[in-house]
Amino acid sequence: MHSLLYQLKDKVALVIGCGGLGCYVVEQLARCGIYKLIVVDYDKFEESNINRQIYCTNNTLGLSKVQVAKDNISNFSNTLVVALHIKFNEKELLHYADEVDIIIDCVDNVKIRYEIEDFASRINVPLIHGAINGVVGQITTIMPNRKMFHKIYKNIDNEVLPTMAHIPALVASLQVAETIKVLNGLPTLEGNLLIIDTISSSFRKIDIKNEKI
Amino acid sequence: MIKVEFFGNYRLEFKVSEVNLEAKNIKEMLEKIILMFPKMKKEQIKRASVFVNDVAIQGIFSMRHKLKEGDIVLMMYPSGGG
Repeated sequence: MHSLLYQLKDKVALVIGCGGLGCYVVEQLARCGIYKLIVVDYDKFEESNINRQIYCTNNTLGLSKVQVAKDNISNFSNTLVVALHIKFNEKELLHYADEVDIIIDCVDNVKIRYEIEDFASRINVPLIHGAINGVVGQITTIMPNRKMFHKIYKNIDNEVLPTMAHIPALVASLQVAETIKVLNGLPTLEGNLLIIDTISSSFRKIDIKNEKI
Repeated sequence: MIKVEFFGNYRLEFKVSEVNLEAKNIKEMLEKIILMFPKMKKEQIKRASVFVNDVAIQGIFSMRHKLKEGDIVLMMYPSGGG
């Protein structure tokens, strides 16, 4: 086992969203040996998900995304999985607040991200943000009470463009890398937004702590 | 002269990777881009995430952000999906 993974053996990650990003995030964290995953998503798999959501197959269409994730993980890992087939709901998730070490943002809209950021601050845990749009993606780590989303997003109604399988895989993998670094106390992307453009093959680190307005 | 780089979907849809132009602030820069690329819709330009010299430029006063000779501006669609 890689030495960086020892820290995960007793850690609990709350993963919000189990779609393009979330499927890859929970799969990889389970394979890394994290102790427990609490996975939140109210959706069921539908045909349009097959192109990028790894747990979506012809056999899982119509099934709860979180339940399918739980069932898949049980085939290869001892990681405990709590599958919450609900919308993001602070009241409900407060029941788990004491045990959560880190939150991973895998949702598909900006409005909920602001609520998740507030929740992470309220329970005082780091938040690993990932988002995709068409051929681009972005990742950062947000420590409690830093209020970074208003520096990242202008509006809450961002248009979401169709994407492909490799985009969420790439961004989710980097979210997992950030998670492992945070749990090991290593330097992270905090204060920076890593933006990825798969068309120009560019990775750029943008300073968001010194944002100019 | 400032350099404007286009990321991701701008590059893909409008077949442009970068342009050089004169502009005293972000507002003027966006107006010139709209004139240079009539296929780009105003909304597509105005909702862009804008970074100047790898620093995020957001917020209600971002249009007034002053540009200076040699600045490198990066524009991309904001990422909100998951």
